[in-house]
Parts: sequence; structure tokens; C-alpha cells
Amino acid sequence: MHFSIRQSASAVRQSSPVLVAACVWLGLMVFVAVFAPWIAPYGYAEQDLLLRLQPPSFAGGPPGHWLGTDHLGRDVFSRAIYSIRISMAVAFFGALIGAVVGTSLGALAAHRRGLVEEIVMGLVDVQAALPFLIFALLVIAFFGNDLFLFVLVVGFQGWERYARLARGLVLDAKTRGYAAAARSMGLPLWRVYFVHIGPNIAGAMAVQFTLNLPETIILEAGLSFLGLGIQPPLTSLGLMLNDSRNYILLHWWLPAVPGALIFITALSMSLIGDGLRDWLDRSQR
Amino acid sequence: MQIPTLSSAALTAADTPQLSIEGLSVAHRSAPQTQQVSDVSLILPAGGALGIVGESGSGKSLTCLSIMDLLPGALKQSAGVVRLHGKPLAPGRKGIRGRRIAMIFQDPGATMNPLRRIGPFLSGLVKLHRGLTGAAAEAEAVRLLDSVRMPAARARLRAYPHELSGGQNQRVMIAGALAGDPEILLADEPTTALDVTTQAQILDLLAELRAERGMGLVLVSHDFGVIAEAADHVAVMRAGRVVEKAPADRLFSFPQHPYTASLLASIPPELGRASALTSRKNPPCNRPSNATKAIGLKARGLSRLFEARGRVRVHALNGIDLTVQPGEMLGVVGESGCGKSTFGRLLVGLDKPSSGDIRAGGKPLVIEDGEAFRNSRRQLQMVWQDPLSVLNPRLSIGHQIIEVLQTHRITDDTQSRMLELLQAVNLKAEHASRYAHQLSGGQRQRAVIARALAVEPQIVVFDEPVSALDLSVQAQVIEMIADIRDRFNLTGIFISHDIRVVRYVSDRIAVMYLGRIVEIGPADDIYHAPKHPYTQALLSAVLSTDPKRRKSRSILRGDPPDPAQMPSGCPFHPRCPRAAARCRVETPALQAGADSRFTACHAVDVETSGRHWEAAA
Amino acid sequence: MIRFIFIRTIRAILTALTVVTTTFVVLRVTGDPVQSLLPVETTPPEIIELYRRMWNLDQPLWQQYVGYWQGIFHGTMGRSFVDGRDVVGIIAERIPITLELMGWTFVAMLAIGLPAGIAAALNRGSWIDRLVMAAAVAGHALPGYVMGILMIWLFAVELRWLPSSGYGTPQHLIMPVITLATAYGAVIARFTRAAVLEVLGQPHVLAARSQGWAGHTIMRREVLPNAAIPLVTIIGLFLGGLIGGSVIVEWIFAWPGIGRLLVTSVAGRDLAIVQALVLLFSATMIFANLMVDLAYAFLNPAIRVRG
Repeated sequence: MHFSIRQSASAVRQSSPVLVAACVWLGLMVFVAVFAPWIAPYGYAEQDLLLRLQPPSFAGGPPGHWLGTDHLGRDVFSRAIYSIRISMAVAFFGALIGAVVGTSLGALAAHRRGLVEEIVMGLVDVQAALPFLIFALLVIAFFGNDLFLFVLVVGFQGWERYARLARGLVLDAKTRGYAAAARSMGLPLWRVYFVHIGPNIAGAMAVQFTLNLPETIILEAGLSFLGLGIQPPLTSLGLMLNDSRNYILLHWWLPAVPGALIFITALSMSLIGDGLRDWLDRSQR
Repeated sequence: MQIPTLSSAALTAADTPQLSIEGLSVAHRSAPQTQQVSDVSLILPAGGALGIVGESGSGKSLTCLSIMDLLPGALKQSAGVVRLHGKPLAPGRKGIRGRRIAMIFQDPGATMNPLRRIGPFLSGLVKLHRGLTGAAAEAEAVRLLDSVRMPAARARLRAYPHELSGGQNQRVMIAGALAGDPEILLADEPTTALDVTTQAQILDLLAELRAERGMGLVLVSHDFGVIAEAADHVAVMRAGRVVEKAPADRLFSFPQHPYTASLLASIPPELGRASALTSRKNPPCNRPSNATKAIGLKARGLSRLFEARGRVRVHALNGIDLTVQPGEMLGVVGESGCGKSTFGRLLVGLDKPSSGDIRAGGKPLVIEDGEAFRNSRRQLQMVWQDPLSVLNPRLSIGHQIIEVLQTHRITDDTQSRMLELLQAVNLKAEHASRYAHQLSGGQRQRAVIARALAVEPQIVVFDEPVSALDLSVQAQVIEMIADIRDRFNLTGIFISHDIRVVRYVSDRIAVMYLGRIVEIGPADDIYHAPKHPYTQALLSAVLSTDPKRRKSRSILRGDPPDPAQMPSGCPFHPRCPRAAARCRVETPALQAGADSRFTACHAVDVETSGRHWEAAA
Repeated sequence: MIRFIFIRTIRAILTALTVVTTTFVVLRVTGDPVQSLLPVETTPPEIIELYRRMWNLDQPLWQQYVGYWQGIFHGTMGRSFVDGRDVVGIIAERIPITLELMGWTFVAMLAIGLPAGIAAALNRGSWIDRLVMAAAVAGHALPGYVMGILMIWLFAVELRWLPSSGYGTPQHLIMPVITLATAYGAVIARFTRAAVLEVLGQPHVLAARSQGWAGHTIMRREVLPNAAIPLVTIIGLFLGGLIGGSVIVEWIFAWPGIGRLLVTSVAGRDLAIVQALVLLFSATMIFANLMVDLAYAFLNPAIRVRG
């Protein structure tokens, strides 16, 4: 029962410049994430207590901080750059964990059937029934908060969808499709899985990955926003947003920068995922 | 190209046709230049029956939908006019739909609202078209169900569509169509989703209703047999155009257009007569050098139980004994749910029997997955119904064949062997680099067969290999199968619901009903002189396009059975015209008759000799 | 039908058993909560011992497990690690506050989503369709915490129409409800659109048109009831998302409900409250899923009549 954004995509995609813009934006974000230390003019924890809560340069602030500074006099632009780096890394590696775990479990369930399948799908059902944000909060409550565990937890987000998808696709291929045929031709099992099934379901899994990325970003930022994710002095988009809440009255740019970054990045990922899915659907017809 | 033969032959000048289509074109809204239907003109004389026949994509269904202004949203009628008694019909067809022209569709289960019972469905239509309400509407609903020969009509009012069989649902749809007492009925592939014996029932019903009500009929079908059975005027469509239209008798006896002629020549009973088709006397140039010796198959007491829907046990196969001689092609025929596909999977070791055993060439079959199973694949192969799903979409055809050759180390020169195999199934070398989606249906099935042949199997099971293909392609693939069977010295099982196809390729035919073989014998004997009442009914449901070969039909009662509800005694007795008291309690065994024939029927046992079917007709 | 209900109910009970046991095991596996709560070096051992006895941590594991179950059935779930108040009491006083928020959100979400989705499906490709779908994509990418802060800035800071946070008056309800309902309403609209389009493409709708029924009758009789079946399933599952979303929204708008309690308890590692909340959320979700299954079975004659 996963989110199907297919129809919505076809409506938005009609203006394909949007998709191009999304790709450009995501490319920019990846570039920023990779080269953050070289791009950022200041360190993310570098404070200048004399220049606190300065507006952006274009709104009359000091020329050195062109997105202004926060309540500790840290450069908002530099912090945004490092936050992108952290958020993108957590989202990417996290989503990768979910993809690998989910796909493997799903494929295993389809391969072994019987009890293994019952157990895996039972876990999937439980996971799907539990709101993941709550699940993540519980894990953090029980096991404490460190960066490694946090990435792991965030990564598990959506694993049940990979598992369902992989199980369905493998089962379909296995029972009445090309994989059943390959098996009945006497091909060895590893060949059936890695040469026949693997490449055929890779596209669908990649689409699922792309669609899962924005949710991972939003989850990571959400937990950090609640103060239960990335911990200071490290920075992340959610943390920046949380910090800014008390200054919203006079310093609008503080929430505006991380908020806009989260929204535009998640939106770009969604759009690209939808585009990929449409493209895959059409190419398989 | 228009051949205005129909109007002059069928009508006097004073008559206005009941329905006429003039210059109809249908195009995509977004791409008006690509026409799905172009310049179609047809006439339905008063009370006549017009058949529109063509292969998939010919535009026949779109033509039919245009009459009701029901084209799919992406398409629009770009030219032409539809007239009823000479008066052009307004867009939206207000007051026409359901009241003057009614329509029935292909898949009767899907054309009914799954949430509505039969009673409200029918009385709703009665209220809409005739203004009757309450008890009067319900009485009328019962009357409608009676008029479509629905057994236990009143009790059906509370049924949901999913509780009825396909044939019963189609009867309900027809009853609904009659609610407005229309003067014309449009039937778009009304029997395509149904089994052959049910098809015969529905076609007979349509003929009776026409006679009773003087109703005009427009019948759309891909099946010349159906058209020949039900229509008195025929239009043949191809790629959106009418290529030929003529009175039915003339069209089937003397087709004018080469396309019509070639399609008619492709119908299985006529297959052997056509000289245009390839000869079976090809030299065995592609026979592998180490030509394999044919081996036989022997099944004993074969049963397969499925646990379906919780605890309901379904006996898909019920104690089958069978021997296939080396080099023989055995045809297996039966309707959906008879267990023929399960049987085929068991015979090549892709499924495990619940009891009984199978021997191939004297050795027991390997079923579990593993090294031995994989090796056994060199002996046994299977060809499936849907070639698109069994070919890997991401590997080229040539690659998939070479992979098999390498796995089983058939030859070192895999490339040239692969090309030989493609040639053997009449594919070209250029097809080797294509992907499944780049091939036509027939080419795909050829590729699947070439891949199966790559291991030089001794036994091949063909499970409905041509039923997903268009008629003209079917004939070529059947010819090809007959050809490779000779050249590769195969022992084969050919499974199909179509007894004409089976008869053409097989040496012997086994007829299956509810998981049992009810009759088995030499193909021509079974085809021309069936003994079992079920075989007789199957054959009588075969529709011929040759007016001289029409025969009186023995139509079966009731619906194709549900394997989950096995009758006592002879499984066929609830539908059998010759059922006696004994049949209800005692299951007949296969008894040997003359000419190596076996029949499982108490009635046949009693007779001294089988009567000759055609002589009796 | 009875068989179907039976199987689903058994499954729900099994899931509940699993959740309770897992919670218990996880709680004990993660170490001694006393040590994580009290500074070990500076706390006298007798104080630690006192706390351990207070939370039954000195008993053998199986006794703790039995006691755990007894607690659940008697409605005594221990005391807060932080302020020592009765856990059930703390949670019970917040339930109506969260229910108030979620109830209004649920109504608003359906009031936005259903008509928008139906309108989009019926006018496929039109500007309405594009608007609804663009809103759905945006809603999916716009997290509640960004939306919430945007609302505070706009309505509380710039326009000064509404209180920025808190609880008590209907005005306090508006921003949290809108924040939650627009995001989920957009997603509901997308599913509604898909469900309606799916049914519109089915042969029985074409057949109904051929029978001469008017468009609104077809809509009322063929399209909407059939589209409702998948929608009921989806909307039931949305309850889970809604609970997750309410955590964030309650945090932003200082809404003193269950969600905010969860965040503060997690931050303070008040495991007594957290575990009680786990059971509450799980029970809610299991119950909701069971209801969805039953509604699905009831709406679907193929299950209702046969099974």
C-alpha cells in the first residue's frame, strides 16, 4: 500500500521544464554536499558573538554574511552548506540501508516461501501499521542517540516497501514469467537470480529508492527538528529550523533558509522519482 | 477501397436501412492524422444480422462503440454519421442508448457492477426504460431472466455477479439489454471470454431472441466461426478499413479480397487444404548431428490436489493413466478448469503430483530443484501460452538462446547453432539481436520454441501455444510446430481448448473433463466419430464457416464445472444428455473400444459399436 | 464473512502479543533505566536500590514479565521516572486533547481531499486536475514542521490573526488542523483521484453508459461505491500517518497532547511513559487496521457473501 504518485506525476510532468529544474537543483545539492568544506566561507560552528542575528546582505546586513547570521553569530550560509552535506549523506546512506535490507528480505521471502515468507511479511505488516516517526522515536528513547544508530534508524524507513515490492516482483517472475522459464531451461539458480531477475527488477527498485529519498530527508530533518536527531555542534537542516523557532518574530530568514532547502530538495527528489517511474513504465510497455 | 455489394444485394431501393454508418472515421484527439478507423460505411438491413470481423487492432470494436457514441476519451469520431432509420443520431445518443439500441460486451463478469445484485440491476433498467416500479419492476426482471433462459430466475435476483458463472453473467447482461425492448442489439465479442460449450449456448440464445423479437444484431468478433454462425451479412475489417463486405454465404464460399481468403484459409479445419502454407516436407537440414532417439512418457494414477480458499480441496487431476509413445504427438483438449495445464506441468516435472508417478523413457521424472533437475531439462521442455512473459525483456533473443546452449554445453559454436535454431522456427538472423517487445506475437512464440529446442529435448509440452495469437499467425505457428516435430524427432503433448487445432497437430487426442480423461483415441477418429457425449458436445460447439458443413447441434446444459465442487459418480452427469441413474453413483472407468480407443462412459459401454458422428448428423 | 472476521481478529491479537512482548524485551535489553537516569557516580547506592524496587527491577525477569501483563490489565503502568506521577493518569488527561486535534483534522482532511480528488478525476487533464496534482506533489514534499513555521510566521507574526501556539480556544485549533489537514488532504486527493479513475476505466461503467443511465446516476451508483473500497483501506492506514504527523504539529504549536508528551518523554528518557505510549499507539493502530479489514470485507460482497 505504498504511495503512488504516478498520476500526479503525469500531470506535473506535462511541463517538463519542471523536471529539468528538479534535476539541476538535485545536482547542485549533490555538488554542495560533496564539496561543502571548499564552498562554505566559515565553519559550521564558528561563532562571532559580535555579529549576532544579522539580516542577509541584500536586506541590509553585513557584506561577509550574505544570508545573515544566527543567534550565536554563526554564518547562516555556511551552516546551510554543511547542513545540506549532513542531510544528504544521512538520507542517501540511510535510504541505501533500507533498500538493501528490504530488497534482500523480500527476495528471500519469495525464494523460500513457507515460514520464512510468513515471518518477513508479518514484520512488514507490523512495520507498515506503525507510523515510522513514532517507531524512530521509540528506538531513540530505548537505545539512546548516537549518529550511527540515528542513520541506521532513519535508513530503515521504508524497508517494508522495498520488501513488498521485491517479493511481488520476484514471485511474479518466478511463478509465471521469464524466471520460471529460465529455471525450466535448466539454468542454475544463481544465474536465474542475478542474470535474469536482478536486472529486471533493478529499475523498479531504483524508482522506489528515488521516491524513498525525500521521505528519508523529511524524516531526518523532522527528528532533528524535535531535537532528537543530529546533535549540536553538528548541524542539519532540521536542527537549523529548530534553532530558528524562537527568532521567527524578527528574523524571518533564519527559518526561511532551511525550510526552503528541505522543501525544494524533497520536491525535486519526488519529481525525479515520478519521472523515473513514468519513464520505466513506458519503456517496459 | 469500397465494394458496395451489400446494399444492392440485400435491399430494395425503397427500404431505409435500420442502421447505417456512413464514412465513419475515428482518430486520436491529440493526433488527428493517425486514424484508428477510416471511412467505414456499413448498413444493417431491418431485422438483419451484421457481422464485423477482423484481427486485433482492426478497428471493429471502435466502429461498434461509435454507434453508441461511447468511444474512449482519447479518441473522437472525426468524420461520418450514424443513422437510425435514416435519421442521424445526435451526440450522446440520448433516448437511444438502452432503449432503441442496446449493447453487450466481451467480459460479462467485468461489465457488471460488482456491488449490485442482479435484481436491482434489472429492475433499475426496467424502471429507467419502462417506468415500472416496485413489484411490477421485479416481476418484469424475472420475466427478462426467463426470456434469456436463466434457470431458477427468481432465485437469481438476490445473487451478486461474482456468484454467477461467465455464461450466466452474459445472460444477465443480455436480459439487461432487453429491458428497454431495443430494436437493435450490438454485441462486441460477446462469447470471446467464454468456454466453447457456453459460447454455443449464448449464440443460440442470440439467434432465438432475434427470431422472437425481430431485433437487428450487430456482432463484432475476431472469430469467423462465430460470425458465420450468427450473421447474415459480413464486413471484414483490417487496419481501420472495411476490406470486404458481402452476404455471409457468398463471403465464406467465394471470398473476393485476398486478405479474407487468407484468413479463411487459416482456420484450423481448413489448414491442410491451403497450398499457400508451408509444406511439411522440408528437408531435415537442421536436425542436430547427433539426432536424438525419441523416448516415450508414461503416467500412472496421476493426481494433483490443490488447497484453495482455506480448506476447500480442489482435485485438479484425478487418477490419470496415460502412455505417450516415442515420437508421438498427443493432443489434450478440454475447457477451462479441466486440469489440462496442470497435467502439462506435471508431465515435464515442473510441478509435483499428489500421488501417482511419471516415467520418461523408462526413468522416473526428477521434480525437486537441484543438479539432477537441471540436467533433466535437456530431456523435457515446455512452451507456454504467453511468450511475452516467458522471455526475459532485458536480454536479446539470441543471447537467451546462447545462454541455454552454454549452460548445457550443447556445442562450442553457439553462435551458428543459435542461428540454425532461429532458422528452424522460420525466424531470421536479424531477430537474434532483438528484444521480446520488438517482436510480434508470432515471432515471440517462435523464439520461445527455438530456445526450447536449443537443449535438443526429447519431450516438449506445448501449453496453449497459439491461443494468444491472431488467427492468421496461429496457422503459421501450428504449421511450424508440426514441422519441427518431424525434424527434431520430438515426443510432444499439445494442450489446447480448441479441438480443431489439437486435431491438426496430433496423432492421438485425449479429451479431459474435471481432472479426468473421458475419451482418448486416434485424432481423426475422435474428431469424426466421437463416442463420449462430452466430446460430441465439444465438437458440436465447433463453429464452421463452411455453410455445407453446418450441422444440427447438441448443446450442453449448464455451465463449465467448478473443480471445487466435484459431482458424485460420473463427473459429467449433471450436463450429460444421456445421463442415467447409474451415472450419478458410479464413476465410469476408461474402457477399451475398437481401434485403440478408450472411453469413460456407461452409455457407450452398453452400445455395441460407436455411431458415426457425421453420418448421424 | 465470519471466518474472515475470525482470522483477522486472531491476527490482530497475535500482533498485539508480539508488540507487548517486544516492548518488554527491548526495555530490559537496553540496560538498567535507573543508571541512565541517575548520575551513577554521585547517587548513593541506597537511592538507586530504592528506585530499582519502585519499578520492580529487582525481581527475576519472568516475574517482571508477568507483572508487566498484570499491569496492563489493571491499568497500572508504573510511575513516571521523572516526576513520579502515575503514568496512566498522565496519559489519560492528554488523550482528549490529542483526539480533539485529530478529530478535526480527520474531518478537514476528508472535506478537502475527497471532493478535490473526485473533481480532478472527472476533469482529467484540466486545470483543476493539474492544480490538485501539483498540490499533492507539493504536499508530499512539504513537511509539517516547515508548513507549521510558515503558518506561524504568516498568521501569527505578520498578520497577527491567530495565536502562535498553545491550547484552549477554537482559534488555537485552526493552525494545527490546517497544517495537518492540507498535507494529508492533498495525499487523500491523489488517492481518491486514482481510485475514481480506476473505476471510470472499468467495463461496467461503459456498460452502464450504454444502458442509457445519466452521468450522475453512474457516478452515484457505479463509480463512487466501487472507488470507496480501496479508499477505506487507505484512509484507515492514514490514521498511522496522522498520529506521526500530530507529534510534529503538537511540538510546533505547543499543543499539550500525547504527541508532545512522547517527544518530551523521549528527550527525558522517561521510559515508563514511553512504553505506555508504545502500547497505546500499537493498540490504536491494531484496532484501526482491524476496523479497516472489517469495513473492506463489509463493503466487498465477494468477501461478505462467500467467506
